Amino acid sequence: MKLNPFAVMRKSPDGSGTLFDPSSNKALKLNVTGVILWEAVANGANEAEVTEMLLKKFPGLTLEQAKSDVNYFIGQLEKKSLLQR
Amino acid sequence: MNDLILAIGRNNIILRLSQDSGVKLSELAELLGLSVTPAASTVCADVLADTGNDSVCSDESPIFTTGPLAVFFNRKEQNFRLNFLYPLPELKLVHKIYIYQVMITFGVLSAMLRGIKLIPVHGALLDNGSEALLLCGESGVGKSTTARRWRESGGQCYADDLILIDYSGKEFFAHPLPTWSICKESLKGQFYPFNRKLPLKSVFGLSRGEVREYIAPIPEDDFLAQLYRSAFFHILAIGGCLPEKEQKRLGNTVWSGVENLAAKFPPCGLFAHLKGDLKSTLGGYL
Repeated sequence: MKLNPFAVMRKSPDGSGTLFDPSSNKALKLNVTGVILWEAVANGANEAEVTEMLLKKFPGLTLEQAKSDVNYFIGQLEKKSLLQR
Repeated sequence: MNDLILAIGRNNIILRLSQDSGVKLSELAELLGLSVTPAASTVCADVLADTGNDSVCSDESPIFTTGPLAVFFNRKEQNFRLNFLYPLPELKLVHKIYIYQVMITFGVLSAMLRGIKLIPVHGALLDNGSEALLLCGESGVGKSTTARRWRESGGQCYADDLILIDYSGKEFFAHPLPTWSICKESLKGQFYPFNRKLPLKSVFGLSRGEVREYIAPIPEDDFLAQLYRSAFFHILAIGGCLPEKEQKRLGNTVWSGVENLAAKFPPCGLFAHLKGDLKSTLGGYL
Protein backbone atom coordinates (compact mmCIF):
# COMPACT_ATOMS: atom_id res chain seq x y z
CA MET A 1 0.00 0.00 0.00
CA LYS A 2 1.21 3.46 -0.87
CA LEU A 3 -0.06 6.72 0.57
CA ASN A 4 -0.56 9.80 -1.58
CA PRO A 5 2.82 11.54 -1.04
CA PHE A 6 1.21 14.99 -1.05
CA ALA A 7 -1.30 14.10 1.68
CA VAL A 8 -0.48 15.57 5.07
CA MET A 9 -1.86 14.42 8.42
CA ARG A 10 -2.16 16.90 11.27
CA LYS A 11 -2.50 15.28 14.66
CA SER A 12 -4.54 16.88 17.44
CA PRO A 13 -3.56 16.68 21.12
CA ASP A 14 -6.52 14.28 21.75
CA GLY A 15 -5.06 11.76 19.28
CA SER A 16 -7.52 12.41 16.45
CA GLY A 17 -6.29 13.96 13.24
CA THR A 18 -7.05 15.77 10.01
CA LEU A 19 -5.90 14.85 6.51
CA PHE A 20 -5.13 17.50 3.93
CA ASP A 21 -4.83 16.66 0.26
CA PRO A 22 -4.05 19.27 -2.40
CA SER A 23 -6.57 17.82 -4.83
CA SER A 24 -9.43 18.63 -2.45
CA ASN A 25 -10.38 21.84 -0.67
CA LYS A 26 -11.98 19.88 2.17
CA ALA A 27 -10.07 18.43 5.10
CA LEU A 28 -10.81 14.85 6.15
CA LYS A 29 -11.26 14.12 9.86
CA LEU A 30 -9.75 10.96 11.35
CA ASN A 31 -10.65 9.52 14.74
CA VAL A 32 -7.97 8.10 17.04
CA THR A 33 -8.16 4.68 15.36
CA GLY A 34 -7.94 6.29 11.92
CA VAL A 35 -4.77 8.11 12.98
CA ILE A 36 -3.23 4.86 14.27
CA LEU A 37 -4.05 3.11 10.98
CA TRP A 38 -2.78 6.03 8.88
CA GLU A 39 0.50 6.14 10.77
CA ALA A 40 0.91 2.38 10.43
CA VAL A 41 0.41 2.54 6.65
CA ALA A 42 2.75 5.53 6.47
CA ASN A 43 5.39 3.40 8.21
CA GLY A 44 5.03 0.70 5.57
CA ALA A 45 2.62 -1.73 7.26
CA ASN A 46 0.54 -3.98 4.99
CA GLU A 47 -3.14 -4.85 5.53
CA ALA A 48 -2.41 -7.91 7.70
CA GLU A 49 0.01 -5.96 9.89
CA VAL A 50 -2.46 -3.09 10.28
CA THR A 51 -5.19 -5.59 11.27
CA GLU A 52 -2.87 -7.18 13.80
CA MET A 53 -2.04 -3.79 15.25
CA LEU A 54 -5.72 -2.98 15.61
CA LEU A 55 -6.37 -6.27 17.44
CA LYS A 56 -3.55 -5.53 19.89
CA LYS A 57 -4.85 -2.01 20.49
CA PHE A 58 -8.47 -3.13 20.97
CA PRO A 59 -8.41 -6.65 22.51
CA GLY A 60 -12.24 -6.89 22.50
CA LEU A 61 -12.30 -6.77 18.71
CA THR A 62 -12.77 -10.01 16.73
CA LEU A 63 -10.51 -10.79 13.79
CA GLU A 64 -13.44 -10.39 11.39
CA GLN A 65 -14.35 -6.99 12.83
CA ALA A 66 -10.76 -5.82 12.65
CA LYS A 67 -10.41 -7.00 9.04
CA SER A 68 -13.68 -5.33 8.11
CA ASP A 69 -12.65 -2.03 9.81
CA VAL A 70 -9.27 -2.02 8.07
CA ASN A 71 -10.84 -2.85 4.74
CA TYR A 72 -13.39 -0.04 5.15
CA PHE A 73 -10.72 2.46 6.19
CA ILE A 74 -8.46 1.56 3.28
CA GLY A 75 -11.41 1.61 0.86
CA GLN A 76 -12.36 5.12 1.99
CA LEU A 77 -8.79 6.36 1.51
CA GLU A 78 -8.65 4.71 -1.92
CA LYS A 79 -11.89 6.42 -2.97
CA LYS A 80 -10.36 9.77 -2.10
CA SER A 81 -7.10 8.93 -3.91
CA LEU A 82 -5.21 9.12 -0.62
CA LEU A 83 -3.94 5.55 -0.89
CA GLN A 84 -3.09 3.03 -3.61
CA ARG A 85 -3.21 -0.75 -2.99
CA MET B 1 17.87 15.90 -7.27
CA ASN B 2 17.55 19.52 -6.24
CA ASP B 3 17.08 21.53 -9.41
CA LEU B 4 15.33 21.55 -12.69
CA ILE B 5 17.31 22.07 -15.87
CA LEU B 6 15.87 23.63 -18.99
CA ALA B 7 17.12 22.63 -22.42
CA ILE B 8 15.95 24.62 -25.40
CA GLY B 9 15.65 22.97 -28.82
CA ARG B 10 14.08 24.08 -32.10
CA ASN B 11 10.61 22.91 -31.12
CA ASN B 12 11.30 21.77 -27.60
CA ILE B 13 12.32 22.80 -24.18
CA ILE B 14 13.50 19.90 -22.05
CA LEU B 15 13.33 20.33 -18.34
CA ARG B 16 15.33 17.88 -16.32
CA LEU B 17 15.88 17.41 -12.63
CA SER B 18 19.48 18.07 -11.72
CA GLN B 19 21.85 19.10 -8.97
CA ASP B 20 23.07 22.19 -10.83
CA SER B 21 21.65 25.60 -11.50
CA GLY B 22 22.90 28.67 -13.25
CA VAL B 23 20.99 30.92 -15.61
CA LYS B 24 18.37 33.09 -14.00
CA LEU B 25 14.82 33.00 -15.27
CA SER B 26 15.16 36.66 -16.18
CA GLU B 27 18.05 35.76 -18.50
CA LEU B 28 16.04 32.96 -20.03
CA ALA B 29 13.13 35.34 -20.51
CA GLU B 30 15.49 37.72 -22.28
CA LEU B 31 16.71 34.88 -24.47
CA LEU B 32 13.12 34.27 -25.52
CA GLY B 33 12.67 37.95 -26.26
CA LEU B 34 10.59 38.80 -23.24
CA SER B 35 11.66 42.14 -21.86
CA VAL B 36 10.44 41.43 -18.36
CA THR B 37 12.13 40.70 -15.11
CA PRO B 38 10.35 38.06 -13.07
CA ALA B 39 9.67 38.72 -9.44
CA ALA B 40 11.27 35.40 -8.63
CA SER B 41 14.68 36.74 -9.54
CA THR B 42 16.29 34.36 -7.09
CA VAL B 43 14.89 31.41 -9.01
CA CYS B 44 17.46 29.74 -11.21
CA ALA B 45 17.36 27.32 -14.07
CA ASP B 46 20.00 26.01 -16.43
CA VAL B 47 19.89 26.16 -20.19
CA LEU B 48 21.28 23.12 -21.95
CA ALA B 49 22.04 22.54 -25.62
CA ASP B 50 19.57 22.30 -28.49
CA THR B 51 17.80 18.99 -28.71
CA GLY B 52 15.67 19.14 -31.86
CA ASN B 53 13.69 16.05 -30.95
CA ASP B 54 10.03 16.33 -31.95
CA SER B 55 8.62 12.85 -31.71
CA VAL B 56 6.88 11.39 -28.68
CA CYS B 57 8.66 8.25 -27.52
CA SER B 58 7.14 5.28 -25.69
CA ASP B 59 8.63 6.37 -22.37
CA GLU B 60 6.73 9.66 -22.48
CA SER B 61 3.38 10.46 -20.91
CA PRO B 62 1.53 13.68 -21.67
CA ILE B 63 1.17 15.80 -18.53
CA PHE B 64 -0.83 18.74 -19.76
CA THR B 65 -1.35 21.00 -22.73
CA THR B 66 -1.71 24.75 -22.62
CA GLY B 67 -2.32 26.75 -25.78
CA PRO B 68 0.34 25.86 -28.36
CA LEU B 69 2.35 23.92 -25.82
CA ALA B 70 2.28 20.28 -24.69
CA VAL B 71 4.24 19.01 -21.69
CA PHE B 72 5.44 15.41 -21.63
CA PHE B 73 7.18 13.50 -18.86
CA ASN B 74 9.81 10.92 -19.76
CA ARG B 75 9.75 8.20 -17.10
CA LYS B 76 13.05 6.68 -18.19
CA GLU B 77 15.05 9.89 -18.46
CA GLN B 78 13.15 11.57 -15.59
CA ASN B 79 12.71 14.78 -17.54
CA PHE B 80 9.98 16.94 -18.95
CA ARG B 81 9.67 17.93 -22.59
CA LEU B 82 7.72 20.90 -23.80
CA ASN B 83 6.65 20.60 -27.40
CA PHE B 84 5.45 23.55 -29.48
CA LEU B 85 3.32 23.79 -32.57
CA TYR B 86 5.86 26.20 -34.01
CA PRO B 87 9.67 26.23 -34.09
CA LEU B 88 10.98 28.50 -31.34
CA PRO B 89 12.31 31.25 -33.64
CA GLU B 90 8.83 31.61 -35.13
CA LEU B 91 7.06 31.80 -31.81
CA LYS B 92 4.87 34.83 -31.34
CA LEU B 93 4.51 36.69 -28.08
CA VAL B 94 1.40 34.73 -27.24
CA HIS B 95 3.41 31.50 -27.43
CA LYS B 96 6.32 32.90 -25.49
CA ILE B 97 3.97 33.79 -22.67
CA TYR B 98 3.04 30.14 -22.35
CA ILE B 99 6.72 29.25 -22.12
CA TYR B 100 7.20 31.96 -19.57
CA GLN B 101 4.30 30.67 -17.49
CA VAL B 102 5.66 27.12 -17.53
CA MET B 103 9.18 28.38 -16.78
CA ILE B 104 7.93 30.26 -13.77
CA THR B 105 6.11 27.18 -12.53
CA PHE B 106 9.16 24.94 -12.97
CA GLY B 107 11.44 27.61 -11.55
CA VAL B 108 9.34 28.04 -8.43
CA LEU B 109 9.22 24.27 -7.93
CA SER B 110 12.98 24.11 -8.31
CA ALA B 111 13.48 26.94 -5.83
CA MET B 112 11.18 25.33 -3.26
CA LEU B 113 13.01 22.01 -3.52
CA ARG B 114 16.27 23.87 -2.95
CA GLY B 115 14.89 25.27 0.30
CA ILE B 116 14.00 28.80 -0.80
CA LYS B 117 11.00 29.82 1.26
CA LEU B 118 8.41 30.56 -1.41
CA ILE B 119 4.79 29.49 -1.75
CA PRO B 120 3.19 29.80 -5.19
CA VAL B 121 -0.42 30.57 -4.35
CA HIS B 122 -3.31 30.50 -6.80
CA GLY B 123 -5.28 33.54 -5.79
CA ALA B 124 -5.90 37.26 -6.19
CA LEU B 125 -3.77 39.95 -4.59
CA LEU B 126 -5.58 43.15 -3.66
CA ASP B 127 -3.17 46.00 -3.20
CA ASN B 128 -3.52 49.51 -1.73
CA GLY B 129 -0.14 50.70 -2.93
CA SER B 130 1.77 49.80 0.22
CA GLU B 131 0.24 46.56 1.54
CA ALA B 132 -1.60 43.61 0.10
CA LEU B 133 -4.43 41.22 0.89
CA LEU B 134 -4.38 37.68 -0.48
CA LEU B 135 -7.60 35.97 -1.53
CA CYS B 136 -7.56 32.20 -2.08
CA GLY B 137 -10.37 30.16 -3.47
CA GLU B 138 -11.52 27.59 -5.97
CA SER B 139 -11.57 28.44 -9.67
CA GLY B 140 -14.83 30.16 -10.48
CA VAL B 141 -15.53 31.35 -6.94
CA GLY B 142 -15.02 34.99 -7.94
CA LYS B 143 -11.34 35.92 -7.53
CA SER B 144 -11.21 37.83 -10.82
CA THR B 145 -14.58 39.46 -10.17
CA THR B 146 -13.44 40.55 -6.71
CA ALA B 147 -10.19 41.84 -8.23
CA ARG B 148 -12.19 43.86 -10.78
CA ARG B 149 -14.46 45.24 -8.05
CA TRP B 150 -11.37 46.23 -6.04
CA ARG B 151 -9.95 48.09 -9.06
CA GLU B 152 -13.31 49.82 -9.64
CA SER B 153 -13.30 50.99 -6.04
CA GLY B 154 -9.92 52.68 -6.58
CA GLY B 155 -7.59 49.88 -5.45
CA GLN B 156 -4.92 48.07 -7.43
CA CYS B 157 -4.76 44.42 -8.38
CA TYR B 158 -2.09 43.13 -10.72
CA ALA B 159 -2.49 39.42 -10.07
CA ASP B 160 -5.53 37.20 -9.98
CA ASP B 161 -3.85 33.92 -10.83
CA LEU B 162 -0.41 33.30 -9.33
CA ILE B 163 1.19 35.08 -6.40
CA LEU B 164 4.53 34.16 -4.91
CA ILE B 165 4.59 34.44 -1.16
CA ASP B 166 8.08 34.93 0.26
CA TYR B 167 8.33 33.86 3.90
CA SER B 168 12.10 33.84 4.24
CA GLY B 169 12.06 36.53 6.94
CA LYS B 170 9.81 37.53 9.81
CA GLU B 171 7.34 39.24 7.47
CA PHE B 172 5.41 37.70 4.61
CA PHE B 173 5.87 39.43 1.27
CA ALA B 174 3.75 38.94 -1.84
CA HIS B 175 5.03 39.15 -5.42
CA PRO B 176 2.20 39.51 -7.90
CA LEU B 177 2.77 37.60 -11.15
CA PRO B 178 0.86 38.49 -14.28
CA THR B 179 -2.59 37.30 -15.09
CA TRP B 180 -1.60 35.16 -18.04
CA SER B 181 -4.88 35.49 -19.91
CA ILE B 182 -4.28 39.25 -20.19
CA CYS B 183 -0.58 38.83 -21.01
CA LYS B 184 -1.44 36.60 -23.93
CA GLU B 185 -3.15 39.54 -25.64
CA SER B 186 -0.08 41.74 -25.38
CA LEU B 187 2.56 42.92 -22.97
CA LYS B 188 2.60 46.31 -24.66
CA GLY B 189 0.72 48.99 -22.82
CA GLN B 190 0.38 46.73 -19.80
CA PHE B 191 2.15 47.59 -16.61
CA TYR B 192 3.23 44.51 -14.73
CA PRO B 193 5.31 45.39 -11.71
CA PHE B 194 7.30 42.14 -11.66
CA ASN B 195 9.65 43.46 -9.02
CA ARG B 196 6.86 44.67 -6.80
CA LYS B 197 7.14 43.25 -3.32
CA LEU B 198 4.35 44.03 -0.91
CA PRO B 199 4.02 43.16 2.77
CA LEU B 200 1.07 40.85 3.25
CA LYS B 201 -1.49 42.30 5.65
CA SER B 202 -4.32 39.76 5.47
CA VAL B 203 -5.17 36.39 3.97
CA PHE B 204 -8.76 35.34 3.34
CA GLY B 205 -10.45 32.30 1.91
CA LEU B 206 -12.93 33.53 -0.70
CA SER B 207 -16.52 32.29 -0.86
CA ARG B 208 -19.76 33.73 -2.15
CA GLY B 209 -21.98 35.57 0.33
CA GLU B 210 -25.59 34.50 -0.21
CA VAL B 211 -27.34 37.76 0.59
CA ARG B 212 -24.65 40.23 1.61
CA GLU B 213 -20.90 40.75 1.76
CA TYR B 214 -19.03 40.15 5.00
CA ILE B 215 -15.88 38.84 6.64
CA ALA B 216 -16.14 36.07 9.22
CA PRO B 217 -13.89 33.53 10.93
CA ILE B 218 -13.88 30.11 9.26
CA PRO B 219 -12.82 26.73 10.72
CA GLU B 220 -9.04 26.42 10.82
CA ASP B 221 -9.11 23.09 8.97
CA ASP B 222 -11.12 24.62 6.10
CA PHE B 223 -8.64 27.51 5.93
CA LEU B 224 -5.63 25.17 5.88
CA ALA B 225 -7.24 22.92 3.26
CA GLN B 226 -7.96 25.95 1.06
CA LEU B 227 -4.43 27.31 1.44
CA TYR B 228 -2.82 23.91 0.79
CA ARG B 229 -4.88 23.37 -2.33
CA SER B 230 -4.16 26.92 -3.59
CA ALA B 231 -0.44 26.46 -2.96
CA PHE B 232 -0.40 23.27 -5.06
CA PHE B 233 -2.68 24.53 -7.85
CA HIS B 234 0.10 25.46 -10.28
CA ILE B 235 2.59 22.74 -9.35
CA LEU B 236 0.44 19.66 -8.79
CA ALA B 237 0.74 18.19 -12.32
CA ILE B 238 4.49 18.75 -12.52
CA GLY B 239 5.16 17.84 -8.89
CA GLY B 240 3.28 14.57 -9.43
CA CYS B 241 6.01 13.48 -11.86
CA LEU B 242 8.81 13.81 -9.35
CA PRO B 243 10.24 10.64 -7.80
CA GLU B 244 8.18 9.58 -4.77
CA LYS B 245 10.78 10.72 -2.25
CA GLU B 246 10.88 14.17 -3.86
CA GLN B 247 7.07 14.31 -3.95
CA LYS B 248 7.02 13.69 -0.22
CA ARG B 249 9.61 16.41 0.28
CA LEU B 250 7.63 18.81 -1.90
CA GLY B 251 4.44 18.05 0.08
CA ASN B 252 6.22 18.73 3.36
CA THR B 253 7.79 21.92 1.98
CA VAL B 254 4.45 23.30 0.78
CA TRP B 255 2.75 22.26 4.01
CA SER B 256 5.40 23.98 6.08
CA GLY B 257 4.83 27.21 4.12
CA VAL B 258 1.07 26.89 4.55
CA GLU B 259 1.38 26.28 8.30
CA ASN B 260 3.62 29.35 8.58
CA LEU B 261 1.06 31.41 6.70
CA ALA B 262 -1.82 30.10 8.82
CA ALA B 263 0.12 30.76 12.03
CA LYS B 264 0.49 34.41 11.06
CA PHE B 265 -3.00 35.05 9.71
CA PRO B 266 -6.14 33.96 11.57
CA PRO B 267 -8.52 31.75 9.57
CA CYS B 268 -10.96 34.18 7.99
CA GLY B 269 -13.20 34.16 4.97
CA LEU B 270 -14.40 36.93 2.70
CA PHE B 271 -17.96 36.11 1.70
CA ALA B 272 -18.21 38.32 -1.37
CA HIS B 273 -21.42 39.70 -2.80
CA LEU B 274 -21.80 41.85 -5.90
CA LYS B 275 -24.03 44.30 -4.05
CA GLY B 276 -21.49 44.82 -1.29
CA ASP B 277 -19.15 47.77 -0.86
CA LEU B 278 -15.80 45.99 -1.07
CA LYS B 279 -13.75 48.97 0.06
CA SER B 280 -15.78 49.34 3.23
CA THR B 281 -15.97 45.54 3.81
CA LEU B 282 -12.17 45.34 3.72
CA GLY B 283 -11.78 48.60 5.64
CA GLY B 284 -9.63 47.49 8.58
CA TYR B 285 -7.97 44.64 6.75
CA LEU B 286 -6.16 46.53 3.99
